[in-house]
Amino acid sequence: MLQALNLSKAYGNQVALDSLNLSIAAGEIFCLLGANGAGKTTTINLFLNFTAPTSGQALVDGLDVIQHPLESKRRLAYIPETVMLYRNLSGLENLDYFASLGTQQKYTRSQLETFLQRAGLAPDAATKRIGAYSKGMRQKVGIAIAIAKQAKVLLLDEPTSGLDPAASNEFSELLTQLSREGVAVLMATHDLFRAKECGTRVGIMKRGRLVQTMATSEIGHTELEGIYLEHMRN
Amino acid sequence: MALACLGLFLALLLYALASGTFQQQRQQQTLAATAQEETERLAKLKAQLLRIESGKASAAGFLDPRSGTAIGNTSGVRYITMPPAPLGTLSVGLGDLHPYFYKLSLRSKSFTLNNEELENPLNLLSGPFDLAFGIVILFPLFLIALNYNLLSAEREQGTLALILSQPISLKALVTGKVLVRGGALVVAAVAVTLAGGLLFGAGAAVFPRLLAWTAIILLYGLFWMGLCVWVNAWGRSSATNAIALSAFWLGFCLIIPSALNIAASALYPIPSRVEMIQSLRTAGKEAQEQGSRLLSRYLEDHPEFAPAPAPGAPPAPAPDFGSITYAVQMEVDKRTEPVLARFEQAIAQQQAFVDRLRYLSPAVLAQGALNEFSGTGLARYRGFQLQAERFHRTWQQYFFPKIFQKAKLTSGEIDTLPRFRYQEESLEAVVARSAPLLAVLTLLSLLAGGLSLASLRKFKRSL
Repeated sequence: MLQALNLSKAYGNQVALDSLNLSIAAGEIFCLLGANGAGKTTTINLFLNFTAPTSGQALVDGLDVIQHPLESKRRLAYIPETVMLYRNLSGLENLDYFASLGTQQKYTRSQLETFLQRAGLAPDAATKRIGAYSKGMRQKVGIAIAIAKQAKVLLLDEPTSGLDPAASNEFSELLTQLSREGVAVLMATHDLFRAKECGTRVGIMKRGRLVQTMATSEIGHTELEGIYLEHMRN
Repeated sequence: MALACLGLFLALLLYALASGTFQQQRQQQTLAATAQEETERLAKLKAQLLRIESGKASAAGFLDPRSGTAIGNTSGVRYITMPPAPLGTLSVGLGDLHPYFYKLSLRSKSFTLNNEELENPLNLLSGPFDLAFGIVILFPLFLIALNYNLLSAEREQGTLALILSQPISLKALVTGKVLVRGGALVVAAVAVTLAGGLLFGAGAAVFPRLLAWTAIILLYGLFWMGLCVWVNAWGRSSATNAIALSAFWLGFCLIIPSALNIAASALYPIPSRVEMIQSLRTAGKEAQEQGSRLLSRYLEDHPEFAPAPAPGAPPAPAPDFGSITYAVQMEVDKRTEPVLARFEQAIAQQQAFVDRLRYLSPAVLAQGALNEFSGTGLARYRGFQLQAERFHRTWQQYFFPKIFQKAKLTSGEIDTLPRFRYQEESLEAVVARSAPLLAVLTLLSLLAGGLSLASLRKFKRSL
C-alpha cells in the first residue's frame, strides 16, 4: 500500500533521507523510530508530497505521489504531532469541512457524529469549539477525518507525544482497530513502548538511513530498547 | 469578521451612491431653476416690448429695452447648459471642477466662459465621496482586508498541513478562497452600481455604460485579488502580507496619482492666474482708452455694420456707448487670445503627460475609465466648453450688427433668439477613448492573476 523506492531527499549538502526502501502492506502498522533529524518527518512529508524527493519514488497504493498528487491524497490521511484545526469552529464543523475537502462529498450530521464517535470523541464534545479541546481530543478529530475519508493509508507524525498514558493507549487501540480494517499505517514516534505494543513492524532510522527493520512479534520491550540504544550510541 | 467587512463595504457604497445622487439632484435642480428663470425673464421682456410697440409704455431711459445691448447682455440672455452626465450619480468625476452651465453675455469669452477653478485640472483621485471613489479606493482596501492572510493564516494556525493532505491542489484551494471572499465584495459593488445606474441613470441609454462599469469592477477586483494571492505565495507572515499589501494600495491609489499630479505641474507649470487676470485687465484698459478709435477701425473693416446715414443728413453722430463697448470687447478677446492659449496649452500638456503615465497605476486607469463611462471625464467637459465657445460667438454675431446699426429688436424676435443645443458625445467616442484604458487594465489583471498562479507553484510547502 505504501512504498518507498530508493527515496532520497537532500537539502543542499545535507542529506535528510538516503535511499529509503520500504514497503508497508494493508493492515500493517509500521513504526519509524529514531532521533530528531533522523529523517522520519522527511519520509512522511515525501509521501504527502509536501516536499519533492531528490531522487527515488514514493508510491501510495501504487501511485507515484508526484505524478498523481490528488489521487494519492484521496487514499491517505495525515495526523501531525498536533492536529491543528479551526479554533472557532466545533469539532463537528471541522470534521465537516475537512471531510468534504477530502471526499468531495457532503456527509449528514448523523454520519459525522458517527465518525466522531468511532474515533472515540465524547458526544457532548462534538459541538464544542476546538479552542476548548485537549490534544487527545484533537487527535480523535484527526482520526475521524481519516475514517470519513475511508483512507487506506494513515501517516502519523509523533501523534502520541504529549498525550497522557491513558489517552495514548486509547489512541493506539484506535490505530489497531483501523489496521484490522485494512488500513496501512506509517507512524513516526519516539515512544518505543507504544511502537512495540501496537506496531507490527518497527524501523530504526539514523542520519537519513533506515538501519534496521524488525517485526514486533519477534522481540521484547527491553530487547527493542537495547537495539535502539545500540544504534544511537554508534 | 468577513461578514462585518462585507456589511461595512456595502454600507459605504450605499452612502457613496446616496452622496452621488444628491450631487446629481442638486445639479438637476440648478438646471431646472436656470431654465425657469430664462423662460420667465424672456416672457417678461416680450410683454414689455409688446407694450412699447403698442405705445402703452415708453422706451425712454438710460438704455432702450429694445436695443441689442440691453437684450443681448442682460434681459434676453440665454443659458448654455449641459444635461447631467448619463451616470453622473455614480461618479462625480470632474463634475465638481468643470462648470455645466454658463450665463451668456456679449462680453469677452474670458469673461463670459470663465472657469473659476483651475488649480487642479487633473483631479485624478481626490474629490467627492461617490461610488467611483468607493470602487477605486475602498474596494481594494476591503479586498486586502479579507484576503491578506489567505494562506498565511492557515499556516500560522497550522491548518494548512491538514488541508494540503487532502486531495485538493494549492491552486484550487487559494482560487476558491479568494474567489469566495473577493467575489462577495465584487457582487456587492456590481449590485450597488447596477441599482444606482438603473434607478437614477438616464434610462436605457445607460445599459452599455453599466456593462462597462461592471467589466471595470471585475477587472480591477481581479487585479487586487491576484496581488493578494501573489503576496501570500511569498510564504511570509500575515503581518508582513498586510504591510506589503497596504504598501501596494498606498502606492497605486495615493502615491502614484499624487506623484503624477506633482510631476505634471512641475514639468508643465500652469501660468500664474494672477498674471492672466492682470493681462486681461491691461488689455481691457488699453482697449477702453482707444475705444472710439477701435470702433471706427472696426467699422472700416465691416462697413456693412455702419449705421446708415440718412441721405443729406449731417455727418454721423459720435459713436454710442454700446458700440464702443463691444468693439472694445472684441479687441480684448483678440489681445488675450495668446494668454489664454498659453494657459490651455499648459493644461493640455499636463493632461497629455498624465495620459501617458496613468498606465502606471490600475487605480488611475480604473478611475479614468469609470469617469469616461459615467460621462464625467475631462473630454466631455472639454467638448461642452468648445460648444459653449462656439455658441458664445454665435450670440455675439447675432447681436453685434444690431448694436452697431442701432437696430431695435421686436417682440417677435424674442422667440427666435439663438438657442443652445448641447450635442451629447456618442458612445462610440467614449468607447474609443476608453479602449486603451480597458486594454491595459485587462492586461494588468491578467498579469496579476497569472503571476499569482505561477508563484503558487513555488510556494514553499515545507510546513
